[in-house]
Amino acid sequence: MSEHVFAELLKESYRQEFSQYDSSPVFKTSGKHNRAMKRIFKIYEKNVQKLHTNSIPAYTPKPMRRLSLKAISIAILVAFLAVLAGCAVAYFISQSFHGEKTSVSTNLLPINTENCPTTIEEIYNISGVPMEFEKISDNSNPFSRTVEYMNNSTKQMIVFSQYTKLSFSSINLNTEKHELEEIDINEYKAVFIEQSNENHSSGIIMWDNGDYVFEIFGDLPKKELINLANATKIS
Amino acid sequence: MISAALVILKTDEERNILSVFYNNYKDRLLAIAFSKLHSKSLAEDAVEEAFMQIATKPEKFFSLTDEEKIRYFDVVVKNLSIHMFNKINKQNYENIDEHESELFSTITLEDNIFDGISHGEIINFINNLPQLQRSVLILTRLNGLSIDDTAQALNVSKDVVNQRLYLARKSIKEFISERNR
Repeated sequence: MSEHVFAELLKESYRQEFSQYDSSPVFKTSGKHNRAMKRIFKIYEKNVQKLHTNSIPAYTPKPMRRLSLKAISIAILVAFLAVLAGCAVAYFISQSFHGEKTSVSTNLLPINTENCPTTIEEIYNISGVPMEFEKISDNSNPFSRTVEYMNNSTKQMIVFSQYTKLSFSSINLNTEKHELEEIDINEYKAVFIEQSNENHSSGIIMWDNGDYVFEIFGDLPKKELINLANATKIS
Repeated sequence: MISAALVILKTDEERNILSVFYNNYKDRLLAIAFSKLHSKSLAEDAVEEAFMQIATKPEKFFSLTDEEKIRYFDVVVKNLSIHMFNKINKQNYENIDEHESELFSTITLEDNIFDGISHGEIINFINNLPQLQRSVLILTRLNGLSIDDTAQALNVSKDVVNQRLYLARKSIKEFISERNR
């Protein structure tokens, strides 16, 4: 589906949700609200004023400087290299997955898709989900299965998916700030992408066991995600 | 001299944009908040909080088109209201039943078959995504907001925005590929 069509569908989805408010009845607001809004508009005006004061630099005439031919050539070369760097597409390859890597994202596909089941014949599950997580959904079709768990008090999520190899393609993994790392899950080679920062732990592991591709996304530290992946078993 | 005058004029216009916008759309925004909170005074609080976000960082507001401004406030007010409702009732953020199925009857897009699946089916699926995933999609894809700005607007971390974007795209892609088989 093209991005343009997707945007149109999203727009329609938005319209369906919010068009009911197009002719909302008059809402009689309280005096407290009216005073609060006046205060908000004053803060806004002050910040707009500040914004413009900061954006209008004091005029200080500068002496004209003639650019040399050499300086112009260097500037053009730098601009050209910058454009090249922005458009560059690298190729990622590991023992199990390959795919295109742009400056911001990577798409992965399994390398070997020969002699693999075309539908899910054996169902796998993760057995070591922490007690605090509750299963909130289990969606399956002949080609994939996704189970979501959530910790209701912390809102952390774990999403386990099993795919037939032919149906799997990862979706724009955000690799702008994080590198893909090859790790071992049981006897298989897996790809891990860390998405943690100082306040939040999260990551995605993907591996191919020869028959299926598995993916675990979770708001957990790397070690715990690896333990979960290692605890994947046939149901 | 002329450019200095234009800057002043632009500032005056910008100074009034927010109050003009509020006067034009307050009934709509208060109705959105009221539909989630079922309380007039809480609905007013939610709308105040949404406008306060813009008041403290007005530069974001200028770059939006009129259509984007409405979309931005619709989504932000709705999310703030749900967030407030959950906080008061100590409920799970994602599990609110929004009773949105009734909205499907208003589909006006042609149900053309696209890659073996009708637009209506995809819209239906998008409508049923968890509300935070859909809000993230609308703000990033339709309004072109950055991950940073979306996170600020929805009061969540950048990681949560990235993850919800990933999950939303993943489930839409899975749905389409499943239906195309």
